[in-house]
Amino acid sequence: MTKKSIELENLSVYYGKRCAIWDINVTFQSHNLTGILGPNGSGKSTMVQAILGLLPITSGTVRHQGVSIAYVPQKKEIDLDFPISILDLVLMGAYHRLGWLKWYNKKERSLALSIMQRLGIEHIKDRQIQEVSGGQLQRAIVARALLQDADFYILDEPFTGIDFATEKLLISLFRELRDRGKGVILVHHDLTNVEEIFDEVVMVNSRLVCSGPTKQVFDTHSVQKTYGDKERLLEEASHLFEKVRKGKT
Amino acid sequence: MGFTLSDFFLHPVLQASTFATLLLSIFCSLIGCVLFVRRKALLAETLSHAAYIGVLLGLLFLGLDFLAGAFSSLFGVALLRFLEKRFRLSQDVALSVTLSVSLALGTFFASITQFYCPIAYKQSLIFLYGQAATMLNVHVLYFSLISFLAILVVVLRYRVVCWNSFDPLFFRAQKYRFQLFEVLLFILLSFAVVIGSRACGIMLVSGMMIAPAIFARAFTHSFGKMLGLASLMGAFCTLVGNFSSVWIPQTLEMELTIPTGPLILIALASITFVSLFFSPKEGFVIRIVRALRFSLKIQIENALKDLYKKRKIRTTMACLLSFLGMQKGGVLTKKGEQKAQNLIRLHRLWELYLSRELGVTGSRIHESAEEMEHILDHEMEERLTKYLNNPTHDPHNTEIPKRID
Repeated sequence: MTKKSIELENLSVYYGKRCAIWDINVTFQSHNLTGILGPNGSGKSTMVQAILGLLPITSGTVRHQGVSIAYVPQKKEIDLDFPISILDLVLMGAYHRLGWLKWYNKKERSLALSIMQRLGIEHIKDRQIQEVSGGQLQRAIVARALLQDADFYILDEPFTGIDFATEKLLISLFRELRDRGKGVILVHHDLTNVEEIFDEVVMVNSRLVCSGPTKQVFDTHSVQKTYGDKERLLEEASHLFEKVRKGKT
Repeated sequence: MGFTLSDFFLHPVLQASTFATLLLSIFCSLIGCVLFVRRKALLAETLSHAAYIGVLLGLLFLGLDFLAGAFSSLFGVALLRFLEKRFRLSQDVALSVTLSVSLALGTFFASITQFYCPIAYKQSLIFLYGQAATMLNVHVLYFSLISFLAILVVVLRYRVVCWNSFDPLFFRAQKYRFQLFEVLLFILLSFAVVIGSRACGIMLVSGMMIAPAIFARAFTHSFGKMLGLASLMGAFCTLVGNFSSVWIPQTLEMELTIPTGPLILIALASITFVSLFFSPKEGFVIRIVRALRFSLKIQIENALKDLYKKRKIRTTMACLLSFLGMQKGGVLTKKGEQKAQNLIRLHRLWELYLSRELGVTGSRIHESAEEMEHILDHEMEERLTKYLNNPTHDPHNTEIPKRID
């Protein structure tokens, strides 16, 4: 299988005048389980959304020609009040294979059901999304991504607010995807299980702190650099500079 | 001339307008559902006011009414998007600004129209208050056609409508070409607002769109079924409104004109309000029924336990139990015994759990177990049994009976 990749080159994203990420150079390879690490507000989600084209990029480029990406948003982004069943939610993943009317056929339905069975949510297929647990909902949105059958899977904080069994199941699933030659990218903030889960890490705090194989780059030094105050000071200073330059202070 | 209900379907004068009104109310209800699930209910209200400007200007200068209205309500959509995107105004602020400005402009143009062109003003009043029962002109044809096409699009592509409303981010991340369909939905919304105004009036059309959605949402968890239920409800109430606007003056034998809009809305609002009481999800009535059912269950189960322990029970409970086939002549049947024994098992398991695992002491153990025995299900019992290592005796050292299946 040919290797596919997503390349970020000098990527910067600003929200108005506030800098979210700044000058990031990194390449994500398929056949890899990569974690994007960083403290709250360090621009992890911003980076992912820029890759997906959900945010306007201020400068730099994202290269992912000919690569299909399935995105699993944070659970809290989902409107739980919406009248939709778990099965219908999962079937969204088949969207690009369905015809103009998007009425799914038996084949897609049974494919969806087999994925749901693999994830242990087949028995709740008819429940409304409000009536399932956090872990089950997370499994459902992962199942939706699996049905898309993409080259890369990008997941935003998939382990928040779920039970231990779901976490274990998802980790084994991500490994399976990696072994099948897919690229799996997780936004992650828990530092305790990084070495256990990821092959590679990308550590960010507005800037890229470091990236590479977990064994080589994930150590106390890089964690301190990522989570320490030094970088914060830099960001605040550059923020202040922008404000002064624009005559706001 | 007296009208009856059947005239609305059979009378050549009324037939066509009834048909058109039914179609347009279904159209409005469907679009209302889309707005409702997107939490954009106020959008219809704002756009209807924006449409009024178009109707007035159209009648004044072009002799067009609903096309100009639809156009100006689309202009309202554009203005809203502009305010939200460009000036980063929050949705409610943008809506209230657009709504009040539209109303101001509408009133201004209405005064001018009234002065310079009273005929056009009179025509515009139809859209302001709604008058569906007597739709005779070219509107019938246009409205039926547009409504029919719109219903077709929404119904056939309801899954796309549902998914786009549920998770627009998903589609943007996939770069699927759904944006075009979103634009089409907004065009449909603009038409729905104007066409609905013909039946219901500009002030009330948003109610006519949203109320059926509220009603339908109370009864179903599925978007498809919601569309169906809302359409039925919208069509029914529109018919009721139409009929009563003719029927009430006739019955009262008075020369008065009641516009259809308020009557449709009154019908819709009363049914929707009542439906909230009877909603199978969180309705007031279902909650009472559930609570009653639970207290009855407790009484039956307590009586079973009493019989099991050879205590006397009340005659009414005895009758009830024998009706349920759980006792005969003061002795438990096999079915009754099974149930009673399982209850006692749950009671004692719970007591053991509280005292051994949580360190609770005294009479509180028994009180809690009295409650929990009615609640614990089979799965929880299995977990308890496993957790407590399949115990045989409770804290009072009485035996825990085996489960009978």
